[in-house]
Amino acid sequence: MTASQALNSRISGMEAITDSAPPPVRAWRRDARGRYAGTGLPTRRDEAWRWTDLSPLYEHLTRPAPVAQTLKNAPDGPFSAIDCWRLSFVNGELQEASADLPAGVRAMSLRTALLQDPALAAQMGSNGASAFLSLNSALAEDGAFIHVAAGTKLTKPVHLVFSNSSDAQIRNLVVLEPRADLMLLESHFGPAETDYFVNQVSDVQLAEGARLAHYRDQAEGLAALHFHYLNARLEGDAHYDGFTLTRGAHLSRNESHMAITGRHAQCRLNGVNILGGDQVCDTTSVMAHQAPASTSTQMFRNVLAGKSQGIFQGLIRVAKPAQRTDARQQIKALLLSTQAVQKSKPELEILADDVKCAHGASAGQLDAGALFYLRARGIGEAQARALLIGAFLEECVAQIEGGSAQEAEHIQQAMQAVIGAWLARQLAVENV
Amino acid sequence: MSARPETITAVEAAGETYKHGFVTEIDSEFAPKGLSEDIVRFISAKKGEPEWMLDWRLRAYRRWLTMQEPAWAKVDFPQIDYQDSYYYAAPKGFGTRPKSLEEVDPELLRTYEKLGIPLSERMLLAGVAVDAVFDSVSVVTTFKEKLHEAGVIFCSISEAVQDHPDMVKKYLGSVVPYADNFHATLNSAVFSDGTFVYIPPGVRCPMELSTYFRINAANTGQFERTLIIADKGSYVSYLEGCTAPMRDENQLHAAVVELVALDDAEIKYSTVQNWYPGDKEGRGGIYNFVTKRGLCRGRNSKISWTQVETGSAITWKYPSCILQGDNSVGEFYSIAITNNHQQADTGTKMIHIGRNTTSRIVAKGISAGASQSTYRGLVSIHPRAEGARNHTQCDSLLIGDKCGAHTVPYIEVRNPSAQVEHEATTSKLSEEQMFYCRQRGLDAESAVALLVNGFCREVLQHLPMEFAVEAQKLVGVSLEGSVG
Repeated sequence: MTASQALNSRISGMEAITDSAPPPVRAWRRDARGRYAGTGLPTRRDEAWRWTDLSPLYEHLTRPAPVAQTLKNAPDGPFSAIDCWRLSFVNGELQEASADLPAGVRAMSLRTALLQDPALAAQMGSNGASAFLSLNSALAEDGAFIHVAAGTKLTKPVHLVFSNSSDAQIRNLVVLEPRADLMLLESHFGPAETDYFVNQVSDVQLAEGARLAHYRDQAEGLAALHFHYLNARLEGDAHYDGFTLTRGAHLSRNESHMAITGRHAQCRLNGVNILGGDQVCDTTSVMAHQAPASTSTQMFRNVLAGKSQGIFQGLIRVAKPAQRTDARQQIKALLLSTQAVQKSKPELEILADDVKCAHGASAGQLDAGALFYLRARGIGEAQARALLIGAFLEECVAQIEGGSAQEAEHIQQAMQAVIGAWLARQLAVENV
Repeated sequence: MSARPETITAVEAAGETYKHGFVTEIDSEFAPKGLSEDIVRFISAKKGEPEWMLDWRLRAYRRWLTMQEPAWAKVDFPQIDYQDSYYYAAPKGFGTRPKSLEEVDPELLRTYEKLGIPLSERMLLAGVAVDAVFDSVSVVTTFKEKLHEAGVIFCSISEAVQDHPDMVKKYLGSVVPYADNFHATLNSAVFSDGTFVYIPPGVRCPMELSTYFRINAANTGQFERTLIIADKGSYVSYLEGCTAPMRDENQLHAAVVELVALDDAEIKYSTVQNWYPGDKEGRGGIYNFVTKRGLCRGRNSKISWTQVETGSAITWKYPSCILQGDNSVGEFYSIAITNNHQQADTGTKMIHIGRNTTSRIVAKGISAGASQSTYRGLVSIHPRAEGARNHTQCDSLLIGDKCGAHTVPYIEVRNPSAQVEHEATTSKLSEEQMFYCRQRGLDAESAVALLVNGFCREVLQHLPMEFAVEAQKLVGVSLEGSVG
């Protein structure tokens, strides 16, 4: 059976299940199935996928999905020690959720939420051209639904914990009413040797003046295939602060589609990708400025060891009405080995004349002068390298500033610790 | 600052100022309309080409039939009917090529004089040797004798096929293979004329070489082929200029340029492209689909592309460098000015294969009216390119709120010792700078001219003197009035 046949049979299997869903949800899924049938899975002939080889996914799909395992303990991640409301998912199914949520906040299973209020389906996008988005809409059974009422500010973050060991289509919907304020943390992890396939889509709706700090730690097992699609809409004065740490999965893609539809909205999309072995991580973003006077910044840092590959495709699109846009984008890659590869495509598409847009991309190795400086002061090779790489990444990590100053610092330090541990391991491997 | 309404009107008015839009009344001889194997044979026979050349053309033609027109560029135009065009047009009586200037039709000489390219040798300034190509044939090549003394071969490609077949056989298609891309393959099948240059080892070409391309006949495509070979330790500076009459229909120009630089050789290739851009409503104009590629084959070789793109309804052009020899250098300096309904998708490719290869890209885009300008480039560092270095800078300037500026750079790094940097900005003329100039007594027009020239200076200074003057004038004409 070929990959597409396998997927089609999974899709037709879903049709029976979703017959019991409320009519708007059924209609929405039918639409997604139609869209998926129109495109099929992408290949490298598609411009948006020219650098990312999906053959591991095609191979994976020809085999039966791996059997779900019970993971004993959640591994430590940067968010483990933070006091927050937690929702835990196993292969996309909600297992347990904190019960003591304050008034004005709903954090629950999306499936339950859709049964209670089928009209929510209208807030979820399936109109993108992405096959992974349509596939998710057609197949996803559950995920998180988070709703924060107007003017509500949460005192603690909400933490979504995704433990995966088999194929999962996860769908999240995050709706912040006007002036709502939330910090949302996400962790992804799974067993090291299993090649499970996770396809997660998050729809984020930020109404006027809403603020969302959205930090993710992707630590899937090293054989996993992880696809993440973020579909966000920012209305006037809304504020999105995103950061993703990618350290897991054999093949991963973080695709973000940010639609800035209101004046004075601010969007930050940052990420650090630390890869080794034969990991491939694709970061794709579309920053669409559709309203005047909005600001966006993007900063990505890749550290590539072994035979790993970093891919970056970032498009800033400024529509005609979006005068006085200020958009910045930066991608820097550090290649630690002779076999590592970085491919970048920072793209600008500008149709308004009163804008400030700038992008920068660079790739290279550690500065020999700086390394010599540290060595000359008696610091060992590995430690000197770790210091320099840490400093290279810190510039990006230091931009995490959601929540209280204390919380932000806590998360920064926890991220640095995770990165430090990865570096120590990686440099030890290199020295062998 | 948004462009003020009067600025926008003034820019639109500038579209009227295409000064090379006249038609030369001259009897022409055409190949039958359309494209088929017979036409390819016809062109080859017209040129009295040897069998191997015809075979090569036919191979290209058969390949072309299987190819798809590329659709990835950010340009939008109606489907081209490749059967609705003449693939060969020559002024009558060109069965035998004129041996000297006296034999050339005076009407042709007057055309070139009107364009500011006097072909009579004694009238030439500063000693620039010119190969003048009119529709499908090379009219005349000047200063041949003088160049011959230095050992330089400078002739039309049709002559080269006859007189230097070994060299043509060896190098033609060695940089741009006949199956390279849709437009290049079409060119390989039907190319009519063009220029051939060979600089022998150790020779610094005593004068600038230049080709002037002119499309005159209606409904005709021009497909020229240029091949420049710089042997070990030689140097050549080559200039290319182009114009066409104003016509309502779109005409196709699909050229191929191949450069080969051997050890320590340097080729400097400058283009001022001023094909007819179409009128204010976007009617007519040249479709300029050009494949230009240079191969730095030897150690320490250098290829430098400088282009000023002001004409054509559509530009699809990516002059590239393959940096194969160790320590070789590639450069790309470009100014692309689009106005009215022009669309330009242009840029470069720098392929780093050898060690310590360096490349530099400076691209300036200026969009006005309802035009769209795109920079599309690739910097590729291969695994063996130890110590490769690239710096790319793309700046766009927008005048008016109906135009667009886009940047699509591809960067592929497969060697950790490489250093690759890319920067791009998009902005408009600064109100403050304008104010500063106005305050010091410059009128608005001169102030913008000054600022735009400053914006382009980095590129303009890489043009040879003769071209820099023409280019500066062109920048002025294209933006005349945008200075309001």
